[in-house]
Amino acid sequence: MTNLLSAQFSKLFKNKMFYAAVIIFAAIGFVSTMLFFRYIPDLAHFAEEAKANGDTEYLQNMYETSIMFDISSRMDFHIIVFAPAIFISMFIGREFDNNTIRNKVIVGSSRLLIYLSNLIVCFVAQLIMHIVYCLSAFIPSIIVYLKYRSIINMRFFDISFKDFLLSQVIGIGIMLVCSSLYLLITMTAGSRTRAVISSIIVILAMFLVSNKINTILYVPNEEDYNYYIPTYTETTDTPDTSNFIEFDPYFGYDSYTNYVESYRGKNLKGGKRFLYETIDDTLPTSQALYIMSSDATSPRTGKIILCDLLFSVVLSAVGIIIFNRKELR
Amino acid sequence: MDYYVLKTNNLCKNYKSFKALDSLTMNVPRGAIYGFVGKNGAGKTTLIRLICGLQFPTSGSYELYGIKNDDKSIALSRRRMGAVVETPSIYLDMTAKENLKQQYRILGLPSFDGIDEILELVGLDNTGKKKAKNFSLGMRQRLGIAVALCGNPDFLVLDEPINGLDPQGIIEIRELILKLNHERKITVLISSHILDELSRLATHYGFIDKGRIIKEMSSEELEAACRKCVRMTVNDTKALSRVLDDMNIEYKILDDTTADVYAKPNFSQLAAALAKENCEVVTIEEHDESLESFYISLVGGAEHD
Repeated sequence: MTNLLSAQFSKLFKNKMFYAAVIIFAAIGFVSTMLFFRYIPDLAHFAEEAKANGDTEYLQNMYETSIMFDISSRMDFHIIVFAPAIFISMFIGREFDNNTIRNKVIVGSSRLLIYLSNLIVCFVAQLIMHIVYCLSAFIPSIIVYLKYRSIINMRFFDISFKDFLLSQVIGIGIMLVCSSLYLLITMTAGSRTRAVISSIIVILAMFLVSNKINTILYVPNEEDYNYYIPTYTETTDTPDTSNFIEFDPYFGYDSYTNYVESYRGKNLKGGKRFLYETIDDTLPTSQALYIMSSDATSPRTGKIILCDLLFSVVLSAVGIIIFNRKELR
Repeated sequence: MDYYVLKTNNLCKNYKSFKALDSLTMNVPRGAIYGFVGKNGAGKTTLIRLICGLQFPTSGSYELYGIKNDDKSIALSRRRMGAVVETPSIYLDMTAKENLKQQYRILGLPSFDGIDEILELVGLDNTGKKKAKNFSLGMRQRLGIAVALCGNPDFLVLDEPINGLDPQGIIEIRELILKLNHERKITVLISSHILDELSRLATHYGFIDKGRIIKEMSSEELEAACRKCVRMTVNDTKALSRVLDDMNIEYKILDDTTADVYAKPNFSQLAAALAKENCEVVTIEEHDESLESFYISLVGGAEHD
């Protein structure tokens, strides 16, 4: 397989689209991090004023808004699930359009090895994009951290380093699943155009399913339901939402209450909940949301990583079986 | 050592309800330029796709260098072949040299030695940094052949390589094929529906129609079949033989009553000599078969089977 890998990597590192994607990831990493921390200079200014005025309470509260590199290093996972849909479809799909896949089959290369070499190269391409993103996010983060850490009480990681690494492992799992999925679609579709369209449809469908499942999973238990309904205080006609923890009241309070009420009694339990959670743990779109919003010490982390491995193996096996029987022109 | 590089045995290929190959049996001798002749849709490209491993037979089998298609070691046989199927499989955004380097990597060859020689052989040694997308059709065809030549194959499969080429391009491809066969002893299977061009190249022919081989013959046999002659029908071919031998005239006995005479004898003298032998002449007709008419008669004969 080394010869096939050598050929594919050579093609990858000559591919303009790959370099364009790397540049885009680098730009997003740098710009999004700069935007994320754009308030730091103002914060530093207020901190210096508070220090001069001896306002210790203000300085303590600033801890909540400290710089956190680990967040910016996870922000690209919502792009990681989408970008390969285009890249892999175009990169591998071109082999079918210009029929260069024939060159490998005619000289006796095994179809299994052709498929696996494509899978490895697609995965490595995503990994490179993510590493470039992290490095681009790291550079402004470290600059800001070093410049302002004496003024503001800052932490470079909000979570422990171990949890940070775990979130990256989940990220690698996401990349593996995405590589397997989009490669299966592309090798089955047999043309660049069909592969791109099919991959985009699949990823959009996954986003919709993830959103729906996420909403259903967060419906509270019946006994806790009233805890989430806003209550009106006696002295004011605006609702007291201090007991809201899970839901985000972005609709406005009345319509939000109706929205919450519509889910009353629809919380999942038992086997059904397990099934929905498993689907949620398997979908790379759900995992991307999970990484960006929660910490990696949740008990579901191990299950997520296992689901990634299993899902990748199943997708790859299906892809290999289909490609082995595929009639090439 | 096998005499035949490729042997097919009742090879069938169905696409849903359409029978593309129907019990096709053919043999490509080692060292030959095998002209695979048939009209559009006869099954030429289908056969080539099967033997290249791109598609799978519905039934039947084939052997490459004596190894059957369902044998796992067929991959080793495939390393000895190169093919251009329909259109050349090249990377349009790479130069000629980069295309060959890519094929060398796929083959796992330890170095890029020999690339310059291959490019020179196909006449693309001066293309420099020009990308394949800027090549003419003839140049792309030659690049496709160059890619097929990577790894020093001794069996080359070319599917209609002169399609769309101008006369100069056709001549170049023809001379290249002859050079590969004569100098490098490469066996060539070339499919075409342009008979005239094949007749300048092929040492063996396989005529295909509706997925079946109608006839296989060597170029000598074809030449004999198409040679200008006088076809005579007599009641005693032995007597005819004696008379023609006495007159030193070349001939060929076809059956008990028919013979082809490859000269224009003095028919008066011939008739008189035959009369002395009590041999009656039933018919005399001029026979001049072109390759096209021979092919049409073959296919037409097949239609009436």
